[in-house]
Amino acid sequence: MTSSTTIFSAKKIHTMNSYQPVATHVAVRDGRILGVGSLDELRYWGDYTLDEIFADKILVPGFVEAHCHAMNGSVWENTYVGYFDRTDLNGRLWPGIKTLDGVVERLIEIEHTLDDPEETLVAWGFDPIYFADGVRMNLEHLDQVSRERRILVQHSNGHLLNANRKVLELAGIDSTTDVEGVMKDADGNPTGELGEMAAQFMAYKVTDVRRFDGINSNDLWIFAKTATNVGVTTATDLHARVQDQNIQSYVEVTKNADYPLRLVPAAGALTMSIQDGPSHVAQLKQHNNDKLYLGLCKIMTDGSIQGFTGRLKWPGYINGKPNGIWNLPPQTLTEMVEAYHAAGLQMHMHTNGDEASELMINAIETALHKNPRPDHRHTLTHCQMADEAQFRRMAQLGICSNLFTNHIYYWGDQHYSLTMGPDRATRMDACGTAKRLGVPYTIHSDAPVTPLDPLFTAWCAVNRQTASGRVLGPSERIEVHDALRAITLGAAFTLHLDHLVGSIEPGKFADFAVLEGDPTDVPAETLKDIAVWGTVVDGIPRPASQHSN
Amino acid sequence: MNEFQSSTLPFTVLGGFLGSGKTTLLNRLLNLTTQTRYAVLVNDFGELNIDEHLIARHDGETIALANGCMCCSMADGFVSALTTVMDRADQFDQMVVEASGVSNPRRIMDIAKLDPGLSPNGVIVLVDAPQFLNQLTDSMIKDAVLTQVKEADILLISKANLTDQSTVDAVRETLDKQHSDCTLLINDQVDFDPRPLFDSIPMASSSTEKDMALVDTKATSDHGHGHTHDQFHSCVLQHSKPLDRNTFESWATALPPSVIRGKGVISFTESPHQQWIWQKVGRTYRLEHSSITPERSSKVVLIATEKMPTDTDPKIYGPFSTQ
Repeated sequence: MTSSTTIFSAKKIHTMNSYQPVATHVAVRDGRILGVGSLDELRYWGDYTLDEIFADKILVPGFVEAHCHAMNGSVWENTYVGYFDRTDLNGRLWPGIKTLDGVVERLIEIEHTLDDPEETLVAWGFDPIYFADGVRMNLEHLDQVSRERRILVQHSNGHLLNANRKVLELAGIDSTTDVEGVMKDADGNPTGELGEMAAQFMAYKVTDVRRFDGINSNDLWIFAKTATNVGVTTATDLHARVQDQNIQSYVEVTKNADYPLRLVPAAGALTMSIQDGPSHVAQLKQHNNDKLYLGLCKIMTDGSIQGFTGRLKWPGYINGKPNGIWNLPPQTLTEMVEAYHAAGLQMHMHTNGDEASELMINAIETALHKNPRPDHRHTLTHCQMADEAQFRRMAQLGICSNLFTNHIYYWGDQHYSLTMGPDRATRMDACGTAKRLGVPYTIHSDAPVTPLDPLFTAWCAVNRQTASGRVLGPSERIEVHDALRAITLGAAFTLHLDHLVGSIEPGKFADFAVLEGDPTDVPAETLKDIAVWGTVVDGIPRPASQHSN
Repeated sequence: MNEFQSSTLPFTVLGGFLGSGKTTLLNRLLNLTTQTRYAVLVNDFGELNIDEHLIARHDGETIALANGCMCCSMADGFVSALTTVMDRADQFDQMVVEASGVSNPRRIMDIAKLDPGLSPNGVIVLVDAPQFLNQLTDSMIKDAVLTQVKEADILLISKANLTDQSTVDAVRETLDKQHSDCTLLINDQVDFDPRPLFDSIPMASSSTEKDMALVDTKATSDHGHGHTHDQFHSCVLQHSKPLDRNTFESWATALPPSVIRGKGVISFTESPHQQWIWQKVGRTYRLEHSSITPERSSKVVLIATEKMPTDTDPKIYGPFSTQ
């Protein structure tokens, strides 16, 4: 086939490429970047077609999200009832609901649209922690929605669930039920709020709600749609079950030229035996193509900080709650790290609390002594509470960090007053320290836990502003340019993909985020408000859904 | 189905920290069982090393054994494994869940308290005799180890033969402090038979004669007393008239910790036409309505360590003493 060259002109191109940080034109051939510079400079490549579709736009490298999940599109099958504004996969904005009555109203609205009385009404993103009066949802609230239909309201923290009277009846949960996690009112009657596995297991058992224990092609297509809407061109599915059916779905979608996303699924190591897991993940690499990168592994260590299940070093939670939980015994987690490392694989380790970070740093150090490997790029993901000494060790050991800066906005106020206390809350998600100490870092959303939107995530790292407006840890703020690097080349580095994506330079995939404004030319407080036109993947423009509405 | 069984599947949780011997114990259970068909949810096939001759077939996440038992791996998640077993509940007599080394086994048992298809059959927690005291000095795991101890119905000090007597004594003393009213057993034998720890106790009745092989009791009189191999004793108590409920419950509450399990069919004077199923695991017991035809008589079996006082002790025979 004769290769043709397309040159895109732009108002400005931020390349993230140090020898040529800005440009006005980029030449694309065969889906790859041929050259970057001015039109005059690019003429040396010969004949070209000039495409001026982006003449008034800003091009940056396609954003790389190194910690999100492929169900980010499919969560919209259910009703959003969160406190904060959220944009769905079609680009429709769902305003945040600020009161419990408001949540009930929205549920009533949705209930009226359901024809099949047997269909369970599922809502997600609910978070009463933000309601000023501390009010909790109970059965009477959901009675207003329906007593006949089964209703489940999932909390945003993933640990709690509100069920309505119908679900409780079917699940056999009443005033005589005596298990942990079934919240009761002063009279001893269940309120419908369910914590812990057993009660939630029963609630799901008597409904027909899909559990996200696998992904299909449709999930992946709508996941890609949510990515395009916010400028993401490479994204992880950072805890994948790697059975054949899932692998088939990854392969099928990524082989389609119209699929607008490079996928990096990370195999959940806790779903496999230590004996079989490493070789299984290694052989998955045979399925890889230009848009599919299997081979990464995910290790889950502790829980979450706002759920008080993150593992903390002394002095622990400021409200005196007991220390959090391990997903496996520390010794087993250490053995797991050694096994996957010895197999030559790369790991991203979920560590929220500083004790979890410590365990993983120790484990990597031990693994490196046994099997020295330069440039392993094992990454602590979340890495929310790591202290300076830990960052120094990470720098020495070549460990990367992927910091959960969206937490600063969404839960920063709670970390300040309830979990960590003012002093340690200021060091959460310490981009400034990572940069200063030379720890390679990126930042993430953990979508759908918080919204997928790298410009917002960058805004969090730059401003460190909580939902109430407090600046949490001003000395950990980074510059806009650093944040842009973190969501492009920084993330690509932690995925071992920085030779393919993350900057606009010759030889890399022609993947761009197309912006309506220049991040370096707006006040830092408005970074998150820059509109995204869409993306370019493999040199093909892919407009965001919000433009086709 | 014998007179003590209901349509629910007895559900036992086996807890204990990494290395405490859960896998070894389960493997022995699966090797020794002849009558009871166990469905066992295990953390990892890789470690279970079931004898080849026992394995009938491998099928994805499950291994079917020739003796009717099944192992189901939880690699795909606990809920998925649980669902697999519940879908074929009628093929099994018991379900046993091997809790992960760090989990709180009581939270798993909560499922059996809620699910009408399951009945709680005890939380057994293994304590690693050589390692336990070291574990309590490790801040990363101390809390998980202590939580397991506090949530147990039955504590079994395992691997006692691998350490010295003073260590075992120190472990026992510590456990007494942490959970003083818990039934505590010590395993210092390589050929330990764990079946009595798990089994809902079969009764000497015509329909279940074969099950009695397990408790090996010869008793047919009011107070039977037999030996379950060497480590456990059993004892059958009967009464031909309804019992006073308060007297019965006082007796049941005051049974010494050496009594590990108890099960029986009881009628009470307050409602002589109604029968109750009584089931005790460790220090807790439950009384539930029974749907079987009332016999106006009561019969229980106790399984205990060798420390159980003889059945002529009023603490043991209690309200069953008079005819």
